[in-house]
Amino acid sequence: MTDRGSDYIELHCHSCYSLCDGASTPVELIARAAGLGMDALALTDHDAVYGAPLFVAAARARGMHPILGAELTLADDSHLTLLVENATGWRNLCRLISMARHHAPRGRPALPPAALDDHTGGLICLTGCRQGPVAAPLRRLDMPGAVRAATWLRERFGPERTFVELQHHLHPGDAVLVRRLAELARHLGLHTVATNNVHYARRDQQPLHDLLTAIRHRTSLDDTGKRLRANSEYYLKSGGRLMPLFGAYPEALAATRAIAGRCTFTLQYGLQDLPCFPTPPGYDADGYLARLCAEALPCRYPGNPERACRQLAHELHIIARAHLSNYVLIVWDLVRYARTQGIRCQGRGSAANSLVAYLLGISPIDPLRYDLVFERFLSAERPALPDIDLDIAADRREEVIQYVFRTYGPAHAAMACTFSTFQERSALRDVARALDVTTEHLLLEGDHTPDRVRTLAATLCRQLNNLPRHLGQHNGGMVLTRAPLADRVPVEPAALPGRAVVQWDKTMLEDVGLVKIDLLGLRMLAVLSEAGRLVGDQRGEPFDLDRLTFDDPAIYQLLAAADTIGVFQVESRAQAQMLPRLRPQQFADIVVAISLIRPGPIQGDMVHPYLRRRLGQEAVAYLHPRLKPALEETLGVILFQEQVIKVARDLAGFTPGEGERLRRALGAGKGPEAIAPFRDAFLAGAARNGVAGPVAAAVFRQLEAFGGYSFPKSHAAAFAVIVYQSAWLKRYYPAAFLTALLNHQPMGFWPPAVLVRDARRHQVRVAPLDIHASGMRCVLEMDGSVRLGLNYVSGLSEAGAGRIIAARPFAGLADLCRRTRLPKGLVERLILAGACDGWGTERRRLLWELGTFHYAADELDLPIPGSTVDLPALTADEARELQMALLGVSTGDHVLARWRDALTARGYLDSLALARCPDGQRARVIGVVVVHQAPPTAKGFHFITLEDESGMINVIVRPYLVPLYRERRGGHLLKVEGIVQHEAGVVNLVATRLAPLARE
Amino acid sequence: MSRFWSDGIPIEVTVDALAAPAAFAWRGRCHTVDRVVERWRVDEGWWKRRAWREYFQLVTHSGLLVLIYHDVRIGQWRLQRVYD
Repeated sequence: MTDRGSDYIELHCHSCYSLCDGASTPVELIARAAGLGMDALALTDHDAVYGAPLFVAAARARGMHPILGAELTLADDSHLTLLVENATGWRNLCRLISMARHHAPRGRPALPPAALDDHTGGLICLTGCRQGPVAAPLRRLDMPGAVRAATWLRERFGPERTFVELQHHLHPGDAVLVRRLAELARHLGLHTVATNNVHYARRDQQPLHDLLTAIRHRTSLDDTGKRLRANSEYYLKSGGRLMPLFGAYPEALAATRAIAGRCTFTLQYGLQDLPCFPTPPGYDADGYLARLCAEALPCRYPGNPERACRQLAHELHIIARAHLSNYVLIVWDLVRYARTQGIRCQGRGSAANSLVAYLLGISPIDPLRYDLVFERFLSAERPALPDIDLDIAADRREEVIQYVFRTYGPAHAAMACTFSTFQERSALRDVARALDVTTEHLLLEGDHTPDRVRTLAATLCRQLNNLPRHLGQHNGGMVLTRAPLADRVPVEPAALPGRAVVQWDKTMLEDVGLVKIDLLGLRMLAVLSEAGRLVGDQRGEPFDLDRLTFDDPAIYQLLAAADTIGVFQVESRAQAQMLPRLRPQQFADIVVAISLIRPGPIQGDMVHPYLRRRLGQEAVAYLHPRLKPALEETLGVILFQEQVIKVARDLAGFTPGEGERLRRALGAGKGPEAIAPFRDAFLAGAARNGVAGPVAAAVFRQLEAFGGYSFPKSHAAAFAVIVYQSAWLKRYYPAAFLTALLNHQPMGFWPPAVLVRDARRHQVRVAPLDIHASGMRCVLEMDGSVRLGLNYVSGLSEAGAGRIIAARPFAGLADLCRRTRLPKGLVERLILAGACDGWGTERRRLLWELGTFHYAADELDLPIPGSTVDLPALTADEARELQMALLGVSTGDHVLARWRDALTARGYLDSLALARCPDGQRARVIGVVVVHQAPPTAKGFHFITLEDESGMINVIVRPYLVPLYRERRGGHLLKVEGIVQHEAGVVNLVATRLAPLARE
Repeated sequence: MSRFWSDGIPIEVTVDALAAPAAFAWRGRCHTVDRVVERWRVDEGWWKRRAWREYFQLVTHSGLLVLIYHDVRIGQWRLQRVYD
């Protein structure tokens, strides 16, 4: 008896990818099945295969057999369980799911029954749960209806692929239904199969499943009522547990094994699925790629291109062998299109290692000049797919995405999906609603909510954490296939019309081997575009930022002085601390600067030694002379991923491809067993090169310690281009740069208020909001000032701003209100922000006047002519505060500017004076808190950045002081007393006392 | 006459090999079970007061149709309904 029980395989099983229904992850389900001694398991989520890649990977890791399928929702709301036998079945399943998703409103899939006429090949059909087309009529005692439905299915799937599904969850009526279904099956010559309609791996996860159901219906658990399953029998059960329930039908249990044996489909795709790039007649993809590169050679390498030719031949050979020419051409075409539309873009990540990418204009970096390693991007030995990701000006990324859809068609192009998951805060809201309490009750201490509820809520939140909740916004990943996409993976309509999304996210696509291209939006590229245009306007001729060579000493002076607010990547507090020590003098130093800000622990072993060597405080030493060529650029310290490859090559004779595999293994955080074979090969290779054993071992230990934390030099180099360009704009055209920065917020490290104040300190005039002068966005005025735009008035729509611009000039407040029809609240905000100051009337008076207006449906009554009122004028401080509060920016003087004399008299230093103090001196400062950081790796130290009218002050707060200063928000004045730390051009104030200033 | 106790009244039950009731004692009398008409399980209300019960609708040799349940959590048997 037990033998037959132990042969049972679960064929109807939901994971958390049956969104807001299944409670267990695919990994948990596989683990539980393995624990029960099963060697196979099916995954049948609702109208989806979201979980398939994770499921297959988990099964393979345990040597289990994954069976793929789905539970489909039909147009009449009945459910059908489908299992994939072979590749044809997978294709049909993908098509059926796509159809179900497209023929119905988003989130409520419904398959038109006619679809089953043609798409059943390779699929096994189980007639479903109580809600299935056969069981439902039977429950209503509609025998003819049940027979009709079963016959209908048998006609489409055939008697060998149609199984009457039996389920028994110990509900009243289950046993009778099982009996009737079995009779029906016998009557129609169909087999039966038993399943448990699993919704969670273990019985104790039933509460989580119930919670998800309540969340799905947006009701409290009490109100969800009958929509909750009445008991906890829907967990993964062994055959032994099910035998008593199906005692009279042992063949139904045995059938699971037979079906499992027939489902032999494996999920894996290859590169050959890329669309064929249309090449000119006479050229295949390889040939065309070679031609394009050859044509670009003389331009990129005028003079002696011998080395470039050799490298090019090498790269083209590897690309052709990997069948990737199509991929490169597709990306080249995207970049070409973007550039013709004036959209800035550049490749990111490892692509900059490739000469081909450089020749085609995909990457801005010459890999020969910067000594990069192609095999970091692609090699004969590298098992993974290459990554060409494009950074595109954020405001115009959509256009490039649209181009992809237009060019390849919706049948061949779609976005990768993303999953919005339950996170702490949103989970708390959902749990509170389910438990019928308020979130405040769950958070407050000493409330009358019993502890039990709070404990229960905490447990539930923990269980919900990271489970997928719904599909989120796409993040730029695009899938392209030659065969119709819907043959490979189900496609759903996206939130935007005319757009489709596949049912796998970026990671899953990579696991499955489907090639994708990441089209990422980078706001700084949009800034460079706009600033470049403004510079061109100013000069009266077109201006091309990309013509800049990276050798202007003034730019490196700016970087070395850490005068980098607004500059890409190097404006953060951490960078400001490091740049004066680094003192960049050439492009390669910018590449290093980007790569030096690394997670805490590595600072001590990697960053500090590098900086010490750079300042001459420590001798540059190499463990072995063979390491010099690879590590010379970083003074003997391993910083770049490419260096791991080079060290392996130079010391131990690894091929670059093998070196890349080593780097991947080190970076993947796998255990020593995974690294061991690499170590053996490394030591053996080193010995063959005459390197002493202990030295080789020491080098390998270094690789192990830092290899995992190294930074891709190619990525840093591509970014360094943008750093240089933005620094150049800041140095020579700060007004244009500020204008562009302000128009693309939020971005970067600093808020607009800081950007404005920094620009003003660099002699940029910033003009306040003015209803007669401000445009939709910030603009550069004729006199070189930056005029704040109407985009800085929160709550003012583009339409509203348009009305202001179209209707001006305004004779007065009444005129403004009547002709723009803006809501009173918005006009109030405009007044308070100073936009109406041009009339010369006091703001308070204007507000009073506004209050006398009568806003009717479509008419604006004239104000009641009445007595004038004497209202006190706003002080400068009040005006500045209002502007700051309403616009987030302040164009007036800094609050401290007026009090500087009084402060100096009392012994307070400003930021400039502080910077001149010697190390160890005591000092006292006041500034506005702009940044307060408490990095988890900083061992309890906090870092505060203050700003006064002259610049920034870096304050270090030691752990013992932290509890005495509780304020975590910014924007207020802080008094700090401490000791100056002045080292290698970097000034910090180590606080001994700090106190917020009370309002005076 | 049908009698119903919403919380059930505690009774003593002896079970058979399939963990189903074979006999129970009520009001001082012992009733043996002729057959189980239906059995089902309920597991609800875990967020306030969990009701995890296995129900048995039985016919006794004494001709009664009754509904008794086993509270799985505390291991107690209760008589819920005696049908007319």
